[in-house]
Amino acid sequence: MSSQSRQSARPRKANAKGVPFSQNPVLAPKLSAWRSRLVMFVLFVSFVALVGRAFWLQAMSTDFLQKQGESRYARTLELPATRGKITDRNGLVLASSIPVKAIWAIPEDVLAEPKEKIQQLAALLEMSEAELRKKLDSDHQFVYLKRQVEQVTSDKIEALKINGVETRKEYKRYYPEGEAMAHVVGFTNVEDAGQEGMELADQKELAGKLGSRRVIKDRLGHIVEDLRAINEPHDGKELTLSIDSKIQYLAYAQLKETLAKFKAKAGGVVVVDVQTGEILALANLPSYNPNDRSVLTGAQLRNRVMTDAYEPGSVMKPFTVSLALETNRVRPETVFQTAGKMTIGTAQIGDAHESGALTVAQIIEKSSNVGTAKIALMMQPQEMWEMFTKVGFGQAPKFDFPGTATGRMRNFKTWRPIEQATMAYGQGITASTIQLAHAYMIFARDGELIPLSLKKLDQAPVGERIISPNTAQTMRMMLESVTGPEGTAIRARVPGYRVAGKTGTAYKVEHGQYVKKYIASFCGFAPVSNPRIIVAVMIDEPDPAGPHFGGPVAAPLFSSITANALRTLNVPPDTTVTSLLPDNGLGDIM
Amino acid sequence: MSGRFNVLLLIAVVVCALILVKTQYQARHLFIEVERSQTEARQLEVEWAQLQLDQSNLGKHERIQASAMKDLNMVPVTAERTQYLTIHDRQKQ
Repeated sequence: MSSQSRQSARPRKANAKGVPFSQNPVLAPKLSAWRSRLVMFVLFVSFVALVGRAFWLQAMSTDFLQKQGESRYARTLELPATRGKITDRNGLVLASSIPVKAIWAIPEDVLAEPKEKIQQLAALLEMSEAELRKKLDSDHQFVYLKRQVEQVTSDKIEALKINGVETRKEYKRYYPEGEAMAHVVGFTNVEDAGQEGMELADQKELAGKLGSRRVIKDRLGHIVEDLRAINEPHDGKELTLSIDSKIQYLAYAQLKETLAKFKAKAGGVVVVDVQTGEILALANLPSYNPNDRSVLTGAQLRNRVMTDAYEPGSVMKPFTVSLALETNRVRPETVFQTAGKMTIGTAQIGDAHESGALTVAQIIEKSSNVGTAKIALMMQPQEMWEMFTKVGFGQAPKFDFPGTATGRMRNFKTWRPIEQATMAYGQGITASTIQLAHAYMIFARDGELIPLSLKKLDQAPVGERIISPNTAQTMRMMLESVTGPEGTAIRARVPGYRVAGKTGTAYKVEHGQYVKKYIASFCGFAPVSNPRIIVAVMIDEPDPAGPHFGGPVAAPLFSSITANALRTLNVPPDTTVTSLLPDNGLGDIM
Repeated sequence: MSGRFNVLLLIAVVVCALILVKTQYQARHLFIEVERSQTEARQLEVEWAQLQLDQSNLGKHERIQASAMKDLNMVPVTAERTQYLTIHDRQKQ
């Protein structure tokens, strides 16, 4: 056994020759050495190529590839920002944005849809099928079918499931107060940008800032993860106006009534808070509905109180007289002879109702042109110019509102005596209604002037003294007499309150000529004992056949607006409540 | 000795990996939850704006005046028919 096992341990030998397997000549390499080297080389080159490719992908084109990958699952979402609301001083919403849908289409895809579906779509879009097809007949890949479609309708359209009809979120602005507030608030276009009024003036603050976020979405469109910090959207700031919508509506309604009664072309009203300079109401006619602006004319859009500068007429007289009082040139009792015509150079000045000798107080009370001219000629042009400039004439009002009129006042160096005399009673100089209301503040505030504001203020601004309190109080008494039994505007009276003011009737100038068209105005304040509001009204072109002077036309409107505003503001009466007024014919509307 | 240590490490790695998977899953769930709540918040905000608008629409002075005069037969107040009460400062407080 042991010898056998020793034998098997020895290398096996080929039976015939006894050659070990490894040395078998059949196995001897017959191939030349270069072949194996070639294989080695090819393998090596392949490896280098692979390494090179890997390097290329990993290091060189990694950005491109990552971007490609990301674009298959990452999405950038736009985060909408809402435009700020506009409210009145009591928080009532005057303008608010509501999300709506814009319906757009890929024409090719829609036209391939069955006819009934297109008909249904047309019906929902409130247009005829032909109209819709006309819109779809386009080479573009993107056609707006209708914008600012309400949510309910757009849901119905989506339910139709028409290929190629898509919706996009956008906002529509609503103005609940409509026509009464149109000129103050203004409106926005479909792109949500302010076009008029405060919407335009405060566009920057009101408009929100869009945000964005980059997210990963899964197969079903769910957001799975934020890829980077969210760029937060910022909603627009809420804007609180100084307007009191109750006073505003009443002023608007009464202005409307007055215009109809005197067949006037247009009109404007402004109510100012004496204590803070806030504008409580600002109404214009003709007006428009900001929610439906399909037909708009320039006349409707015009904010006459702000943009129309006209020759104010007698409303200017108090400024001339107060300057004379302030510089001690006259006293309220000083007498002037106003009978007959007054000749300056080649021109003549006369009064509508001739009076004899009048005191300064009576000149205001009876609105005498001759008397005012005589007072004016006692002063230097520069003094008058400075006075008018200080109270804001010839200057743009110092608050942000589109299209405010500056008014025209020439430099005092070019004034001739006749011009100085006519400017003293408001001809040859132009001003807007808002400028007049602002200027009257010096009488209502004991000689101080504070800036006006259309935004609600937390505290009253600091005033600038223009005339002494004494002069202002004297002027108040004179202006109150205008509404007295001898004055030109007894109809301006308000039962229960002492009111003061001045009428104005101006001839309009067309092509450099005075024509038989008038602007009747009244500017005043109440209560006289402690003024709270200034009210200025302007009626453009009352029918010349009927009454067209400030007294009968503008004063009654002033009276009714003032009565309502004082009641709304809870101002206590400062005189006995007796009806001194002849019925002003406006009794029906409060 | 080192063999046993490697096994321990392997187990630790596997456990960590499983925890990671679970956490990621939870995170995504919570994220979807947050997302849904935010959408709801936006929806409510829109609704609130709409209601505010409705309030303004219904509280319009024009409308109040019309229905007061027509439906309730009310007449505008005038100073003659108003009883004014004077409140002294002391009584105010």
